[in-house]
Amino acid sequence: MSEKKRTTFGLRLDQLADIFGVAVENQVPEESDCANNQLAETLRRRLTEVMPGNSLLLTAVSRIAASNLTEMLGKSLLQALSNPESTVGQLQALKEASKDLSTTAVSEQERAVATTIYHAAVASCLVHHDKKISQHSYDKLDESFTLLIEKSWMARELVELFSKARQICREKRNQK
Amino acid sequence: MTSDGYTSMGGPGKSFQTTQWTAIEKAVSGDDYESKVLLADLLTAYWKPVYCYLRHKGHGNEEAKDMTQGFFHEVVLGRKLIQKADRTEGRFRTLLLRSLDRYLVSMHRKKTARKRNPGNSLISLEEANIHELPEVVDNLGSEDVFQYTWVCELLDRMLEQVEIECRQRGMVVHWDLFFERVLQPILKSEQPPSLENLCRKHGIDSTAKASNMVFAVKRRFQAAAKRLLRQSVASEDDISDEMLELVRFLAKGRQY
Repeated sequence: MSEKKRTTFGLRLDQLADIFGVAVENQVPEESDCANNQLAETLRRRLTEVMPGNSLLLTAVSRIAASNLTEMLGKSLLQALSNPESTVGQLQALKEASKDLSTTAVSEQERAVATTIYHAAVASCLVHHDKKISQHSYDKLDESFTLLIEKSWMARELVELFSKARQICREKRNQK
Repeated sequence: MTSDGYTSMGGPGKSFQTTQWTAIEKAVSGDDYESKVLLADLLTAYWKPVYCYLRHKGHGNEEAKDMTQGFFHEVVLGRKLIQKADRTEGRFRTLLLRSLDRYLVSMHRKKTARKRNPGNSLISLEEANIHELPEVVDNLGSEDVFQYTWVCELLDRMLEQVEIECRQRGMVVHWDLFFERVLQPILKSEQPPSLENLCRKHGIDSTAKASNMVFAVKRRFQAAAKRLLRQSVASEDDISDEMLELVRFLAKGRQY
């Protein structure tokens, strides 16, 4: 990058979006012990930030049609996840954005938060739309939700959401 | 990068304290030296977007270069744009694009076949080394091509400023880590290397330390973004809107 000037000119729009995403995301530096209270704080921050400050929402919004954009403005992640009126498309976009975030996360803490939001989007869709937007089986989801519920750093609202979703997973499994 | 094309556009890393609107106001106020410096900054930031807009409109390479020079010389530096500048118009580039369209219409009317370039080129035409528009803009309209090129220029400036800043502060390894861990994977659409591997490669004690080094560069990148975005808006309050506008535009990439 230093010897010869390079340019982003020629990159695809999604690549430009990813680079721009680095500029607007709120990163969390790696910590050696990933203390639970810090993780809880980070998760809380992610959940309550509103557009356009929340980079995860920005990325998610960029995945869905521009016509849906205004619906997510001024909302926090927590509102988007808790609101029964959030559409399947919006939740799917949140799921995909957090999936991307978990693969590119710089720290374990950031990865844990991304994984949590991924599962929260899946849980929200199950609870509010009775629709499974994950490839995982109900058994696997039940197991994941249980693990997340047990985390000491988990946000109270998400514990409730995961509990409801876990119940639905068990009912679906019993119906088979 | 997928596009490894060299361009002299974009200018060196500088610390910008003024917005493009204040640049215009200062130019109107008549401080000649300062006007020239500030207008040169405008030129650096917008030459390429204007050129690409014209190329996308169907003008050939040389013709587009010539028209770009003419537009900047007659409309921007000739102060027609400045006289009409109004902060209430919002984004500077909206005003610029509107002025460009008016300029094209007036050129068409006059059917001016003569060269627009007044001799002493604003930007060396040899340096304007863009012969073809990239394939990625094939599905975009002309205004989006302008916007696309503007975003690329913005990102190029952000990256360049941060890299220079890192090198000047003895943070070369910080920059290399950021490049390899964050940028390269985006540019090559591949998974980022593990922190463990990067630590081994660069002789860093722990992954936590490497992660913090990457984080330090990301923070500088964020600061550069704000600094540069601030230039294109009328007030601090408009930066969020500007970011949203960019997100809306970049979202189009997810739809193709």
